[in-house]
Amino acid sequence: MRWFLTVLGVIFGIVVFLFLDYALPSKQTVRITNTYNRLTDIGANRIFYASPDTGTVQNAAGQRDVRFIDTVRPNGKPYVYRNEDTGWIWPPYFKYDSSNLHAQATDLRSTSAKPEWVSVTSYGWRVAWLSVYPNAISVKPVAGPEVKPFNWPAQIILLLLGGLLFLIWRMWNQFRERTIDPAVRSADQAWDRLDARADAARDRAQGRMRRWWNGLKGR
Amino acid sequence: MIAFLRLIGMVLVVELIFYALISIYIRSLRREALEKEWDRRHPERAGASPERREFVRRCMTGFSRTLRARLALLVLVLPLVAFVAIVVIVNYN
Repeated sequence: MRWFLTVLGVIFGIVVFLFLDYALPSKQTVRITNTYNRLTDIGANRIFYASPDTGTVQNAAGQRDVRFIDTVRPNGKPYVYRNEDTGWIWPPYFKYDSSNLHAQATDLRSTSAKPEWVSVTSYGWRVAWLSVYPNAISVKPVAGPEVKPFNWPAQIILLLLGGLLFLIWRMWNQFRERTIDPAVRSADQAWDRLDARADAARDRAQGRMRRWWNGLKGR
Repeated sequence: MIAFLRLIGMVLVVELIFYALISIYIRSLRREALEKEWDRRHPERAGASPERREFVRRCMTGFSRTLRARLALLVLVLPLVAFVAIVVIVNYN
């Protein structure tokens, strides 16, 4: 039982980490090489694209005209962003300025001969074999490839989430201390009375409910 | 528009659930503080008793009108502020 709960906890931790890694904004310094839109097949990888009701047009064959931003990282490897509205739905970026962002990104295009570096804020992953692209949120020019602005938004969101978790933990503790524990105590006492009336071995029954509760929690 | 209304609806539901939990929580904190206050004032009659319950009950009347209870309403306001901040930062910067 113990190892099962441990495995379950580890899996839960990994899922939470992956979720945050996907949904939180991240920043990367890159050089924009091209911006374009392309008719894109949205199939099994649909959850990695914007919801269909955010204003994107999708044809009967399940294809969408999606804007893309081609970039090159300082180490020379390519990285491709999509540029889609998130609308009023998940993830809660409420982005509806992808046309403006595209204009800005197009303006900041550069060649390897005369590079112009920008810091792109985005969320999501680049998974090549699934045709999954991170969604660009904003583009900001920076002085050079070594300039990496600190990711304030993600840190602030993590801090707020931590605070919320702490509050929920405190609330649960208060609930346990004031509601569950007294109920267990009185159930314990009721059990004891019953036991005495039945004239059974009273000391074996002491704290049975409590032991059950502790056993349930794995203490 | 439907998506926007759906967002408002879902956020409102979550907020109301959280508001209910928070108000139960701060009430519980206040009750505990009052019980400790009674025990401090009457060390010879400490512990649960009808008198202490009556004392707590009388002190809790009007609790919903205190500043502390009203601050729980921030649960309804702060997410809205956060949403507006996100919209401005993402779209108008």
